[in-house]
Amino acid sequence: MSEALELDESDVQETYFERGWTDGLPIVPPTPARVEALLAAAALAPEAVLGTVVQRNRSVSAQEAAINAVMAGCRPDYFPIVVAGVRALTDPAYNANGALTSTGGTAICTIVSGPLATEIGMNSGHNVLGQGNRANATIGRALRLVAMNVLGAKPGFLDGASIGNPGKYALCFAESDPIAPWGPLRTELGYALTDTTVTILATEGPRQIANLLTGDPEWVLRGFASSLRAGHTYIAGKGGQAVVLMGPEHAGAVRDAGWSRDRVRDYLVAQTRITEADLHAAGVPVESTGAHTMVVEPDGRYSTFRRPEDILLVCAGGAGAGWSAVMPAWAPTNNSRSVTQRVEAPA
Amino acid sequence: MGVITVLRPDKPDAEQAVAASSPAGRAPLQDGAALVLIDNGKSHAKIVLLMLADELRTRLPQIEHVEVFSKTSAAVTITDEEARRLAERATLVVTGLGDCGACSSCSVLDAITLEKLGVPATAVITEPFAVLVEQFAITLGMPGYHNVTLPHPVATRPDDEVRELVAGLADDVVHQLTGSVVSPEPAAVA
Repeated sequence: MSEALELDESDVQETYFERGWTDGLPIVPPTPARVEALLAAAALAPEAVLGTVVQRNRSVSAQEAAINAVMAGCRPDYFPIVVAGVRALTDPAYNANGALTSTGGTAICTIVSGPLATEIGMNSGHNVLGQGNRANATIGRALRLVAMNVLGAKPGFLDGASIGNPGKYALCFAESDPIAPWGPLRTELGYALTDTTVTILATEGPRQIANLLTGDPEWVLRGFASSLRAGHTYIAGKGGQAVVLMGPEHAGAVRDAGWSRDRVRDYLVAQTRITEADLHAAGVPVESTGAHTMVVEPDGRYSTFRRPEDILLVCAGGAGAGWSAVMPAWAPTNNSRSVTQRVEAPA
Repeated sequence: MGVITVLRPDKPDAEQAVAASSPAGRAPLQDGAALVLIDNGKSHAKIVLLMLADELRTRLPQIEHVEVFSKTSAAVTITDEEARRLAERATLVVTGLGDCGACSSCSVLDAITLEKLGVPATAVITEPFAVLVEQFAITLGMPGYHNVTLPHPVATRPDDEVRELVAGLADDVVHQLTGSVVSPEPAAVA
């Protein structure tokens, strides 16, 4: 059980800053009553283990997750989503040890898909990756605080990020309702439409994709591909994953031209296959003395995505102009993969 | 404002330098020794490890076999089963090349895993990651665990320069793996 401290209320913020327990922003003091309210909302006992990262010899208890979620500013009804996020974070496929230690400095890019996101007021519309929505901001922040405080991913301790990115504070958003006939991410991943899922991917910071001048589906998608295949993208030519967030104009243009989600992903896989000359043009040599990153294919190209399903295609954002975003994974799939967890909401 | 009760958000026990595990014992090397190199696949990793193996064989002629085990990712640790199999056939282990956050931590974690299984092991990392791997050694219950460091970067240096740098590590590696000192310098005369 977590240690209780008796502090003068006026000293709480400074004490938490001094002890390195915050992300640099003030926190909500995690009183036992606040923590218990979160645990009750997820019907979890404090000692329940949500997951373990064996390489760090650390597990995450429900109480530890709740303490950090309170500090982040979460309401109790957000906590089942945080719990699903922590379970995903500690799934071995995510490789939290590698992703949280890397010089690459990864965001825990978190996509919430399903009815619970709407119920708790998450934002999937205008400014979806920006500020202003409590649920988006605090659920994402809660996962980062768990990574810092429970899994030890603090700068100067077990977080080796060289540059980091602002998404390390929080990078969490809700998927828009599907635009017929496209379905949402969760059904593509095999979950029910009535489920709510949390999908996480260790990513670089978001890149905005601007294309306001065309409604041609291939032209629209080539805009996304040009960013994902750029030589400075670490996964370019190495077989990674990415979140491709399509704003309403871009998604609408592609869908209205009759393209299915599968066709979009297939096209992006094809358009992001690169040559040695593409890398050289970006100042990037092909890695020749490493063991497993660059694998040339029979036609002389290197795949940025080896399977269409490595592209996590989601619709989100506000109407009004041609903006979208991509979040490339921090490293190829032999290092880390996206993980999805169904949210277990108590009846 | 009054006094309130708040809960700690961290795991204080995990951050204390408590030696929960002991490294493998060091003993004089016997003939027929096997040196296992755990290559993490990073650029130049295998090259550096093989250069180091050449240097070690000149200092430790008891090494008769050198085996390279290549991991599928630099950012993951070896599995328990891989560790058990490697420990069965290794007398000494060197891991590397840790020249980034995830890969240096995993190379040191692999070395510590082998130590726990009774095999002297060390990791070759680059200087910027020395503090990071110290913290991992604490987390894994082996505070003060040693590694060897090369200047950063390695991957962009010519092979001749890398070989020279690696040669400069070899005595320290011998000392770390066997406890013995190679070619001690005569004491300076005042």
